[in-house]
Amino acid sequence: MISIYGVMGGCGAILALAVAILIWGQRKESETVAKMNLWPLLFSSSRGFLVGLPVILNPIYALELVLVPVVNMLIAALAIFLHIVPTPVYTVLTGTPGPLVPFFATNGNWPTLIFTIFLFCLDVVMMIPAVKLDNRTKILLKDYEMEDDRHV
Amino acid sequence: MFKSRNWKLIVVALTIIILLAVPGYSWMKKTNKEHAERQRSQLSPLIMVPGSSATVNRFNELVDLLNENTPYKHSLA
Repeated sequence: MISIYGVMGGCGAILALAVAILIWGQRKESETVAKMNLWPLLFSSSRGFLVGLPVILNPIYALELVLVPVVNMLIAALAIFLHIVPTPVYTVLTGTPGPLVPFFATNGNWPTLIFTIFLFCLDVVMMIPAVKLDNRTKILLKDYEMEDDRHV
Repeated sequence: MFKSRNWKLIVVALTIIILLAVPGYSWMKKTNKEHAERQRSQLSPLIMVPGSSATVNRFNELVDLLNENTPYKHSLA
């Protein structure tokens, strides 16, 4: 379950985070990092993004990074339990784009592809609060620094 | 949201993913078929029944019973 539905782009739902930053992000730096790392992320290589943003040890994204894969896996488990999608059993190459992995792992099952695209859109929507929080933190931090300068 | 400058990049990425998925799909089908072919054996399974006091005709009834409902016929070796 983890390697099929929990991981979309490297580790966790990082690809969804990158797309969310590209659409809703207002910080120049994070947008640039997301832009540069979109292609590696599409082919499941997340190191550049994890270190560049940074995502690792960042309390803003910590909750989302844990929560989103768990939600993904729970929804997928429910869908498999209700026989909406078949169980993914076939082997998939490393580096297959995240949203295509379940489709390839079920030998080209079309409902699975539609379900995964829905899941990916849900991930992007779930990532919005983190990105908005990141934007706000940046503004607050700027104000704080300016105030600090005034006192000196 | 719709003012974002990055929509073009996302659309390009999506297009390239779809384009790459087309050969990937046929390759995946082919590989999975090959794997299935590799698993299929030429011989039908051989069932060995251990026993000390079995005569030649000991399992004839069992084989007849098996052959009633199965598409592949069984035989004694």
